[in-house]
Amino acid sequence: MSQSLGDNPQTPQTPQIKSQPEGEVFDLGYRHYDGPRGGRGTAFLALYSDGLRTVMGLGRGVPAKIMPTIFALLALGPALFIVSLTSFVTLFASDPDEIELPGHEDYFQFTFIIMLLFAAIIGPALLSPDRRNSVLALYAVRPLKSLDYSLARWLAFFTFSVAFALIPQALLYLSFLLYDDSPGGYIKDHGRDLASFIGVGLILAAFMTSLAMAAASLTTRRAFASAGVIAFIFITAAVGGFGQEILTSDEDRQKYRQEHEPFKQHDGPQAPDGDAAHYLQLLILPDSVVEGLTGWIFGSRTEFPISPWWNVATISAITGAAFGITGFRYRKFGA
Amino acid sequence: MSALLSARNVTKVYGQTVALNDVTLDVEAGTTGLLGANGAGKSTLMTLFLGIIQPTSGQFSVFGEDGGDPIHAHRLIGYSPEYECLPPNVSAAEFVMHMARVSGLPRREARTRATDVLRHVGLDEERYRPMGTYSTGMKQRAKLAQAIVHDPQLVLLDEPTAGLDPAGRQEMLELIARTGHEFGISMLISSHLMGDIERTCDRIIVLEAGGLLEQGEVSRYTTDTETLVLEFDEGIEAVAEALSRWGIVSIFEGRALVIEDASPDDLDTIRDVVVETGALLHRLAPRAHSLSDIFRRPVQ
Repeated sequence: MSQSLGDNPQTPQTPQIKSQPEGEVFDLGYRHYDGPRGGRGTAFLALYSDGLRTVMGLGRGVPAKIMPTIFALLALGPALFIVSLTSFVTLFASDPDEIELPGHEDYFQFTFIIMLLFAAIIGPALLSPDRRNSVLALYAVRPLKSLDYSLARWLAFFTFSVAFALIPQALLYLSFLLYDDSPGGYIKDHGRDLASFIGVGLILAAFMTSLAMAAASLTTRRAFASAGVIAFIFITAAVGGFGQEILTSDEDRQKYRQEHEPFKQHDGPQAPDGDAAHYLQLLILPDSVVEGLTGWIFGSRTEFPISPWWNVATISAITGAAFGITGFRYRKFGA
Repeated sequence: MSALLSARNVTKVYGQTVALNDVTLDVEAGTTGLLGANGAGKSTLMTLFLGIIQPTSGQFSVFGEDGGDPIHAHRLIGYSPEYECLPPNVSAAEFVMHMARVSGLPRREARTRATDVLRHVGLDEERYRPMGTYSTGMKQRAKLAQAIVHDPQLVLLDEPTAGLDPAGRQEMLELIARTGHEFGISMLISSHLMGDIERTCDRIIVLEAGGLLEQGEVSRYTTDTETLVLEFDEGIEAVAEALSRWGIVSIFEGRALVIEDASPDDLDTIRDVVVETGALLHRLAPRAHSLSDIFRRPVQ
């Protein structure tokens, strides 16, 4: 802008070398493009990588980067703390085996709620604003089929959810491995841990992603979608909890006390259960279904009030239904 | 040359509303204006050609392909809807590049073209600012940029001058005309303003209440006619009287005389009469048609 030169009080002191232009602007005008033109694949990848950038808040100003940074710290912080604790214990404790450090399964119990918040708060950014700002109308005239859009966005968030679930676990595993007296033996003894945390991580990531995307597909406001995800988890938990209380008979409760109280078992059923209560428990997501599934996969829990396959079925049904809702909401995304 | 877009007896009904009523038209290469009042069916026609909606009855083709193959056609079509469609927290540079990639361009080319196109539409300086901070004119330019970033063969612009003041509208129209004429991108531009179309387009399609009213070359409607208009500063009555003595019928229109079906001989007579009466002639010119005449004529 040329007028700003006159306002600058330092202008008179600057040497007069105006005769030598510092640069020249060439207006190349409009040029036609005759390079390669991709189809659905290219468009899909573009949507996917844009989704990744959206999650991280890249190209969107500073405020959009604050929450992703906080979540990255929340996901990694505790793992780094445990890693440093492990090294401390290994180096200074007289008998390191006596001290029990949090393991992979404990870590999932901790990250579940943070993953849930991550999905609820960041996830909707991938879908809700596009509908709210009518950007969908522009995607509708690109070489995309409607499901490409929702699938690319789903995969973008799934990628981060998997990273969220698995990177801290991998750090833990690596540190346990390196601080062990015989790393080879550790792998042999804890091979199941590795497979288990990968399995649970993938399931949790798919579950959270589907839930967040479904909520985001139903509203154009991110805040509503966030509230929806959190409400879904807590309302189902509350319904399940109350239902279980109501449906459990006094006889069941009595029987339970007699059987379990003296031993204070960790891995036994946590509440007395009648038949109806067993089924209602399927609804209690954070406490029972995910925990039951995690315990089952890690092999730490042997006694289940109902078959763990019910947990698998519930998780699959909710994930599938949420995925279906998202697909349905974008079946014709331009009209 | 075969038409880029064509519709044959297309009807589109939404519930009780007939948005398009038995419309048959062709959009050929070049710049075509789609004129009509709000609700005349302009946007419906555009979304139909874009493959977003299907007609209730009738056939249409895009790039000569019946019913259109959206995936193929969308690589060669650009579109800017009439409403706002830009994410407010993203910069134009980021967004236009993203749209180029979604249109199928490789990353490097997408970046180069986004920069080029934003310079072309005059958003060079502001391209790193979030688009939420843009004025209406800048938003319209950004919408145009995302529509042409993949170098399409055909661009559909729905009300590209909406919300602009007269100066902004003039600039936008010049930009569109330049994009269409100099760079050989065919355009279909909808507007409810006659002047917009008259200034920028080679051909015109006029819709009224979902039906086709007219289609043809703009020049057909704006060529000179046989009607002469004479404007006077003084002496208009004397001229009219003298002309009637020569058998030339003239009609008063304010400070002007209008002579219909004037022959070349009449011009000589008029010259002589003006000299003889000493009237002060201000202007003498053939009257040009205006597109607005289309609406004055009775509908067949």
